[in-house]
Amino acid sequence: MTDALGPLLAWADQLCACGPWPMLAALGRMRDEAARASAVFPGRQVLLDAEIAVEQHMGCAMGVCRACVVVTASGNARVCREGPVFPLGEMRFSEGEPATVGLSA
Amino acid sequence: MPWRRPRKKVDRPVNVSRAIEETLEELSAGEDDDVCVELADVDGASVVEAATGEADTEDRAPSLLAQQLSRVELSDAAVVAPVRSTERPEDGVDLAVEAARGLRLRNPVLTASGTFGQGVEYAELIDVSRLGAIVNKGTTVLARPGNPQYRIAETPSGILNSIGLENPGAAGVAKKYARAWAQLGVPVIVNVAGYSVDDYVSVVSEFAGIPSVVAYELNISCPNVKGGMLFGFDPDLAGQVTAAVKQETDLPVIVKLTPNAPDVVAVARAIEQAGADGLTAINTVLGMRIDTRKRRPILGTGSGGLSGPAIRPIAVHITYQVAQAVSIPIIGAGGVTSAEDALEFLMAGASAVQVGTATFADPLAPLRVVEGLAAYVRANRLSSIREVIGVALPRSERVE
Repeated sequence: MTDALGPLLAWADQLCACGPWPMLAALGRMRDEAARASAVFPGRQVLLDAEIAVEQHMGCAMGVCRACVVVTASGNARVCREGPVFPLGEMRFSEGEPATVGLSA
Repeated sequence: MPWRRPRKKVDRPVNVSRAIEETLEELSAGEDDDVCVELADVDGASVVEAATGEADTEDRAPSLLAQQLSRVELSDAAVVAPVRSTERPEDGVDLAVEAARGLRLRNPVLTASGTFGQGVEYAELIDVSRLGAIVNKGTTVLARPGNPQYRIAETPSGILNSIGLENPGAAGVAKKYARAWAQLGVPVIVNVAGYSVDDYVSVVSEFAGIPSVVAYELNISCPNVKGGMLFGFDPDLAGQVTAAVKQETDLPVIVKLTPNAPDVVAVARAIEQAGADGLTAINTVLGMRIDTRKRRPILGTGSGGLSGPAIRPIAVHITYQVAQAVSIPIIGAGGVTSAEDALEFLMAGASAVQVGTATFADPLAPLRVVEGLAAYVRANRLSSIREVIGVALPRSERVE
């Protein structure tokens, strides 16, 4: 699925993604590559600025139960409060799934 | 209005909660032409920022998300403007109870720990000052990141959870929320969790001197943390931790019982003898669900704690048993969704109840219980709600 992105990245102004975690994780890897590449890498900025909408099992949707947390570069974040849209670069993945624990809130 | 990517750091609007009220008013008034924008405005600064600014750079620190994560709900404690009701159906009805020895509350409805955050979150939606008290999320000495996903699973008439006591640590909670609690206008009971007697004492000491904190509830029964349930299983250990905390504080100490203990009544007796001022019955019941497609438990930790109406009969039964064994007040908890449910606990000998899981489905549930109890007192021409406490107990055990 992410293979289809190549030609689109050359002209796209913005990348927004929503879908299964393995796909989002693949986008995350593309972004990592883009971050290491030179400034002329096609679609580099679009990948760096990409945003993703994520899903998680949710309890209260008010930010109290902490069931829906995902691990980000800035710590545990609640999908219901800080999300559901996150900068792709903030999200931490683990083997195609959201990384879950390791950073404190 | 098209949505645009957040671009530039701008100051967060100071009175976010006011924005919510205004949005709700506008929606109810039918001015829904710009709903998407209004709702987005409420949700966070990112969209507010979208209207102006320039490109976000890659390594700005701290990131927008980091700023969001570090703030207290509703941006800053100084601007928390909780929803306040003017007309209260419970006004003029005597709902006051002694929820624990030395803890007199305006009504017997509390929120259950872990289902009401730090109180400030739901203050955006409901008038929390109408509650008897709130119980905050379980607090440990050090910050805890919580358990791996999934942390929650739906079950028939209930929820299975394994959050793992994710919290910023006692010092963090005390520092972050002391001011906000003062503005909520509701007594706060701090829920304390730990792995050793010293842990419990340390957490309690962090909250000393905060005026809103009126009591402590010791979670000696968290099923989702390794070793978390040990204290609640063993009458001697439960007594030790109770006694140690009683020495540390002059405030009432309430201990939360676990239904997973082999002999709950023995644990309750030991806790009473150690000097506790009250008991909460009950914490969640251990349970598990399996994802049949993945062929493994749904919850990241395998098992979790079952809550909701599914466990109500268990909770009422334990309340009924413990009420006959101890003389300190009991707070009933487990699947309370309505005043009718609350009455079951009160009649079984509880002096107050906690509403937990029901709040997730209906944030108004705790207030509906308050209103329902007031209506019951009125309809039955009682002088106060205290008249029903323990009326279902065997005659010799009734609290007169």
